[in-house]
Amino acid sequence: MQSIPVLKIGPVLLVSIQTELHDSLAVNLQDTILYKIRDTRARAVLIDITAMEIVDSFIARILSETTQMASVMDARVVLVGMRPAVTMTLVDMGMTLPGIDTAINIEAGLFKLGYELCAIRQDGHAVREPALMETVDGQD
Amino acid sequence: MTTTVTNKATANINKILDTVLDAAPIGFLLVDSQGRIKHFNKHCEGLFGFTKKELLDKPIETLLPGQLRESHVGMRDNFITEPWPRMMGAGRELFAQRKDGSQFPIEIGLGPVEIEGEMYVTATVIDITEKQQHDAQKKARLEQSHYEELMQLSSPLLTVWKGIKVLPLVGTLDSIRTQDAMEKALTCMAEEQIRVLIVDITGVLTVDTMVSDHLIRMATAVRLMGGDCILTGISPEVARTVTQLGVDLSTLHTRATLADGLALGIKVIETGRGF
Repeated sequence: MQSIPVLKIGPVLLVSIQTELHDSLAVNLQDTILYKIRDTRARAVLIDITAMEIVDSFIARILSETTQMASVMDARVVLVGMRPAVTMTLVDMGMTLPGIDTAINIEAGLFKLGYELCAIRQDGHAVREPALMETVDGQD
Repeated sequence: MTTTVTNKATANINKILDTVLDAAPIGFLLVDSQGRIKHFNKHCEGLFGFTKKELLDKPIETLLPGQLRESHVGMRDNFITEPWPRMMGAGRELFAQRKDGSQFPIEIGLGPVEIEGEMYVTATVIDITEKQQHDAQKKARLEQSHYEELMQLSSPLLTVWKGIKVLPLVGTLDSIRTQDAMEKALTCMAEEQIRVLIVDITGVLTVDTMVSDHLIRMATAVRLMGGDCILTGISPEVARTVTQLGVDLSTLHTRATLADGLALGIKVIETGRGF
């Protein structure tokens, strides 16, 4: 069965949905995320929906529920990269996904969760990437 | 002698008249009080597709679309009893029918004339197919350009800071304009990875429940995209109306002036954590 990979980057789980979600796949994904939170003791989940062209009310509800479930397990979910067309359809349907954290791209999402990319100098010290704000502004 | 001269003059005038009528780029018909076609010019032959023989002494209804023929007889009789020169069918569209059954839009001018105690009616006919097409195209073009102009005027997006856009709204906010502004703003956010959208309503004439609803929708959409929406330019009057109407703007981040909104936006950009 087709499944969506849930990647772990430090304390953050990264879920990038690169295919259209049908109902069973969505339910399946919800399970995967929750088990992965327990197994990896992740504190945050980034769900990237940049590639999704259709988000119907069922998928929206699954996403909303997953956020609540994760929060009960003390993990914060940020939804990333919703397309304009998808956004407008959801607003028109009155699905405003209350309580869901969102970000414009993955980097902004990480930043929102309190993490950011660092460069590691040769002496082992982390240096804040000045490029980050540039990319957040879309100048990269 | 005098009579001969007069006859000759009349003949000349008739000859000139016939030439003029046959050369005219409009259709000309002479109809008697029974509605029979007594005379018509060359242009009519081309216009309706009938030959001289086919049309002479035939009822004028021959040239009308089938469904109008019966009612036209009555109208024609009315006109004969109360004749005065006029344009036919003021305010509505008139159609004529060719020999092959095809129909075309026309304009007709009617002129009653009494000759030796008999009533006749002259009718001039113009085919307005091209004029109508031209008018329709012109109207469509004009409407389109007006609409586009309005749409462009109504929602410019201004860059005021890295990652911050301002959408100044002016005039009356209806659902079409809000939808248009929203579409533009969201597309721009996705393309340029905009973090903060400031919607300034200083120039909005009235803010009622409907407009508030539009604004709340816009803010919700911006939040879903992963951005933050700040509503600025709220005058004391707007604050009063909105509160008295019982509109809940607590889901929006509001500031009195654009300057305050910008300060808030910059703070959001720098901390990167939203509100």
